[in-house]
Amino acid sequence: MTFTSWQFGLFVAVVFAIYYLPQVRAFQVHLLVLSSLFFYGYGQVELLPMLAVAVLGTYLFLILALRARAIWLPVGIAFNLGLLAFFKYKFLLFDPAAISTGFSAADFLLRLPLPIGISFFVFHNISLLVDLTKDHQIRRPDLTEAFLYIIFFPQLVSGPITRAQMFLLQIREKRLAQVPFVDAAKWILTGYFFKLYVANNLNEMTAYMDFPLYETVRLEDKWLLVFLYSYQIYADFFGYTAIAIGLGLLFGYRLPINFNLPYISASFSEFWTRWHISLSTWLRTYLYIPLGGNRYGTWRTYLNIMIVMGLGGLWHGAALGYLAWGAMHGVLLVLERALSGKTDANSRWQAVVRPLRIGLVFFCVSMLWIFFKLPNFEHALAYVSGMFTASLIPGQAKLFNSLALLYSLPVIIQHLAPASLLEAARRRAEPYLYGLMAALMCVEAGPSTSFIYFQF
Amino acid sequence: MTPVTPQSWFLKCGSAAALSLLAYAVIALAGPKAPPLPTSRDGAVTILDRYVGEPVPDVLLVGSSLTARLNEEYFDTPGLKVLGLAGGSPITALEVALARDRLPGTILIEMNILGRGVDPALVQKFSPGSAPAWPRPIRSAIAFYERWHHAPPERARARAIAAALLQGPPSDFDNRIYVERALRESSTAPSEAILANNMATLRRLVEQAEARGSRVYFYSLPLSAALQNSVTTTATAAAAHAKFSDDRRWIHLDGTKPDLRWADGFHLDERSAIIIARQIDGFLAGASERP
Repeated sequence: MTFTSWQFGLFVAVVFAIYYLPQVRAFQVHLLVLSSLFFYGYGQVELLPMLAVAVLGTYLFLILALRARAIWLPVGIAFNLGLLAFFKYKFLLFDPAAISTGFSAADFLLRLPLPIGISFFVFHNISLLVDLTKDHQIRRPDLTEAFLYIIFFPQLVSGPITRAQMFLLQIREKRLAQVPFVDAAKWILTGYFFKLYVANNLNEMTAYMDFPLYETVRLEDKWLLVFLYSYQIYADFFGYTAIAIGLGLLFGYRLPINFNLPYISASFSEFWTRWHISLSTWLRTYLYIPLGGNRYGTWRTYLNIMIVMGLGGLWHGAALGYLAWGAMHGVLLVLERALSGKTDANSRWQAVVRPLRIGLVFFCVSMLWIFFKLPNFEHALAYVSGMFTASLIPGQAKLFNSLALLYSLPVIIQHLAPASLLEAARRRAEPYLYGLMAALMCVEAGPSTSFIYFQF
Repeated sequence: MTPVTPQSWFLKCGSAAALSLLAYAVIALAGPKAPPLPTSRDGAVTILDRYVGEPVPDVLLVGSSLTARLNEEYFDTPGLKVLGLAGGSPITALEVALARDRLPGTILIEMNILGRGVDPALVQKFSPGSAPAWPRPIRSAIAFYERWHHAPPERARARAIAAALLQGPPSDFDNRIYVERALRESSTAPSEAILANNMATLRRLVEQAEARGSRVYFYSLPLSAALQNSVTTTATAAAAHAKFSDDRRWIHLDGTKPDLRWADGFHLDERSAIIIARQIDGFLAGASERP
């Protein structure tokens, strides 16, 4: 069930209608858990037992780790990483069509598809294990509350990745009068607008980046497509997160902000504090700092950065392209760290230098998205190579610059319009603008496609 | 500034949305029909949309992307239209043509790609009486602009361009990697069951067309020598000739000409498409003289 389906709209309406009934108030957590299980099992019911095993196993290890952290915490983490590795990387070793071990249970397990959202709920599981066994001030959740934290449906599939302590503190009785309806509506409308109007429409164009279609694209259009994909992936993922945050508010939970205008970053390290913030924070907290962070000298810091970014890339999928994408971001971060302090010597030039740096960071980030769009490393390299050689194939695809601009405009305006611009007028016009956005996303929605991050 | 209450906020937001949608509905229902604007692999939609919106031609070519390369401007035959569906099949194109009240006098069916069956969604979309699609306003505005700004060349100019291309030498583009890829894709025979089913559908449609007075001919566009002998091509050709065995109904295109080129390994390049179009012209001129 995707966020953009009518079934999901009906599902949310029904759950919301029941959730705030006085008779149900004592069972709100239970209702959300059942709803989340229904949401997850809808269309892939065979994966529900796997989800249950992941949560129950994590909870068991949590109980044990609270008694003997040194022993059971690593086991619990290994259990979760094992799940992730098994489902995400098993196809590197097995051909699903040719699996036959002679044991039906093993064949069934090996043939199971990649469970949607596994990367996200495994991270929630690890956060639960680490946070609660480290900080004993946090109240230990009961099993239902642990379930809710891990499988709360707005964030189950693609995050944002919420820290256990942040979420668990919010579990209490919710009342309808406390719901910030306007804020929730703004988030939800913005999210759907970015997904339906921007991302889905741009996806029609960036489909030309796929192999072998890109061979029919003109040289200048190959460049255009790279930047369009930059806008698309932002609109797609930001849109999903905005909907998740809005839905969270409807049910009384504040989920973390996941994006903060990433394309105005003037450095690569700044980019990672603005893009997929919850993943960056998770990797820093649970991987970079435990590895030693920047506490053991320059070269060890560089190594830690490369490990974190490489694993961050591989987290997206078992493909060389993802590893290359993460590793190249790591190289950029290392280079930036090595050069920092030398490039900003003259602060008077900041007004000139900052826009140039923003442009450079945006350019590099966009170029690296090619490896994300084309996880097959050879295809990605061929695409990059094609950006510098004219295509001679006849019957070349036609892209319309005017259309590309109009579909990208919301992302550009969001990033470049100063917050102070016509502030009073904008505040007065705000409800009307949201109304226009709602209308536009209804009549100008692009062909339906799943969210890019659903595959992770 | 007085804070906006939630009720007021939702009232304003809802009003703006409702008024915008109302304005859109009025323009969409009363305004001119916007042409489609393909930005991805939906070129077939554009071609079908244009076909159902124009008068029925005298001669119609139906086929796949191979046929789509035969631009109408390359032909001398008047009143000729090409329904070549990129990613589609001749069966879909024929089914759409048959859904109209009147049929072309002559229908030419490409027989290269028969492993693809009918696309029910496309047929439904372009059948008479199907619900009109609501246009996307921004896309429609750009479509009008593009049609005005980039109108196709006039027929005389298009013919001059084609003549100039024929005067020039054939392309020397090195297409080896594309031919190899096309060969890999053509290395397995199409499913016999699918092929048989598609042939049965095609026969039914051909009989319908003939019953309504159309003359139907078949043609296979020439492929590069390597592809001509591939498993897919030979299996398809054998099935096609077995089902439609009357040789008088086949247009035999001369694929041995040394100046034919397939730049992407599969589709004729522009100059070669003109050469083939002229061969089809020759056949049609002869056919019109036959009883």
